[in-house]
Amino acid sequence: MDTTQLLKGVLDAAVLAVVEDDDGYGYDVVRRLRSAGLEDVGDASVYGTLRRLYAAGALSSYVVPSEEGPHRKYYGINPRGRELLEAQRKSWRAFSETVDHLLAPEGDPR
Amino acid sequence: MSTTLPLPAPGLDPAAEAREYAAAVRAELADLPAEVIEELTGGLEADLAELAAETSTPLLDRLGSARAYAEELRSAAGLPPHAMAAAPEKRSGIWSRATEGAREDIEHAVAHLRSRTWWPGFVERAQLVRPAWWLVRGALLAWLVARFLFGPGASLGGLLLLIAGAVVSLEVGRRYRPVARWKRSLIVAANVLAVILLPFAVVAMTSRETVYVDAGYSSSGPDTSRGVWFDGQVVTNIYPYDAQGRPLTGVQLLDDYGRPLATSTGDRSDWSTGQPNALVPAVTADGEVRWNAYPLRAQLDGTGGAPRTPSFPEQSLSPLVGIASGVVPSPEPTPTMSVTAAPSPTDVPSEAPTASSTAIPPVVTSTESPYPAPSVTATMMPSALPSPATS
Repeated sequence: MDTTQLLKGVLDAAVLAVVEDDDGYGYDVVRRLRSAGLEDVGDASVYGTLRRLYAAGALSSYVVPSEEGPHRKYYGINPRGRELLEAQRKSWRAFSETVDHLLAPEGDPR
Repeated sequence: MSTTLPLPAPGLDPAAEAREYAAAVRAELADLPAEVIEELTGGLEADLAELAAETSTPLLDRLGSARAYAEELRSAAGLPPHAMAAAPEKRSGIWSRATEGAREDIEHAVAHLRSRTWWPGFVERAQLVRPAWWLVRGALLAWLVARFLFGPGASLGGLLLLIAGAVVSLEVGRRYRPVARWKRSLIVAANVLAVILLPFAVVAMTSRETVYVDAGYSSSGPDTSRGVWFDGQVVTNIYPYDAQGRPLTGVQLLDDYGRPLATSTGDRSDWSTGQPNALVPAVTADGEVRWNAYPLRAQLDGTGGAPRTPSFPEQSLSPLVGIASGVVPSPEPTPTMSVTAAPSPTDVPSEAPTASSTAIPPVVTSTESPYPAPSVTATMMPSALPSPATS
C-alpha cells in the first residue's frame, strides 16, 4: 500500500498533533513526526503543510532570532488549530474504525 | 529542543550548503508573491543547516532537487504547481522558454524510468561505480588541459596534471553538491565534455603507444634504411681483394638490382661518429660522382689535400682456388643493365671493354696505392661488370 498517499490525508492532523503541546520550528516538526513513526514524511510536505495551516489560521508563527546564523521560525497551535485537531481526531477515529472493520480478516470478531 | 551534536560533513559547510539550497528553492518559487515565499521558506536556512549538519549526506541527496522540493512545498501548501502558475514573465528568458519543453520531456522520461522495477537496483549499482567515473572524468579534463599546455604525447607535467585532475574531480564528486542551478550546470557540462573526450583520449592513448615504438626505433639506432649495413653496424668503406688475394682499388660495386652499393653519399650524418677523415667519392671521366668505387679514398678534414686511399686491413688474402682474377668474359647483360648501361643494345654484347670506355677508369689512384698493382686495377675495373648507369 502506498503509505505516502495515506500520509497526505492525515498530515494536517499529524502536524497539528505534534505542535499541540510544544511549539516547534519546521525541521523540529519533521523530526517529531519521524520519531513518532512517520519516517517517510517529506521535509517539504511538512513545511508546506505548516504554511497552509498557518494560512488557514490554525497555527500562529513567530520568529526567533539566532545569535549566530539565520533566524528560526516557530509554529504554535492556536485555538482555531485545536478545534481543527479535535475535529480531525474524530473523523480519523471514525474513518479508521470503518476501515479496520472493513479490512478485518473473516471470523475475527473485532 | 536539545540538538544532538552532529559530526559535520567533511569539507561541507552546512550553513553555506543550506543557504545555497534555500536560495535555489526560493528561485523556484519566484513566481509567487513575496509574502507567500517568505511564509513558505522563512527560517528555511536554519532548518536546512541543522539537517545538513546531521549527516554527511549532502542536502541534494537527502531532499532531492530544489525544484522537486519547491513543487512538494507548493502542493503541500495547497498552491498551484509551478507549471500552472500563470507567471510566464517570471521565466521570460528566450532560452528558458526554449528549454522548458525539452526539460519537461526529460522529466517525463526520468519519471518513466523511475517507475520501472529495475530502476532502484540500477541506481544502486550506478552509485557504486560513480567514484570511478569521477576519477576518469577528472583525468579526461586534465588530459585536455595537458594537451594544450604540453602538446600531445606523454610528459611528466601531463602525468601530474592527470593525477591532480582525477583527485580534484573525485573530491568534487564526493563532497561538493551545489544547489545553485548554474553550478550544477557547470558540473553537468564537465561530465558531458568528459564523455565526449573519452573516445578521443582512448584513441590518443592507443596511438601514442605506436608512437613510442616508432620513436624507440628511430632514437635507439641510426637510420638503417640508408647506407650499407653488416651485423648491425654501418659499413663505411669496402676493401676489395682479387682472386689472388691482392688488394684492389677503384672497384665499383652494384647490388643485385643494379643499384650502386654506396656506403656513403657525402652526407655527414650517415658516417659513423668519430670518423677522422672525410671520405671522398671517385669521379668518372665525364665528371660524375661515384660513391660506389671502393675503397673510398679519404681526405683529412679541412686540409683540402689530395684524397688518399686508406690502408687496407690486410696486405693480402689467401688466393682463391678455381677462380681466376680478371675480367668476366662476355657478360650477358641482364635486361635492367642493358636498359641502363647501353644506349644502343647492339654494341653491348659485342666487346665488353667498349662500353667500359665511357665508364670509369679515372678512379685509379695508383700513385697513392700502397700496393704495386695498377695493372690489376686497370683490368679489374671497367668492363668486368656491367657498367652502371652512366647514361
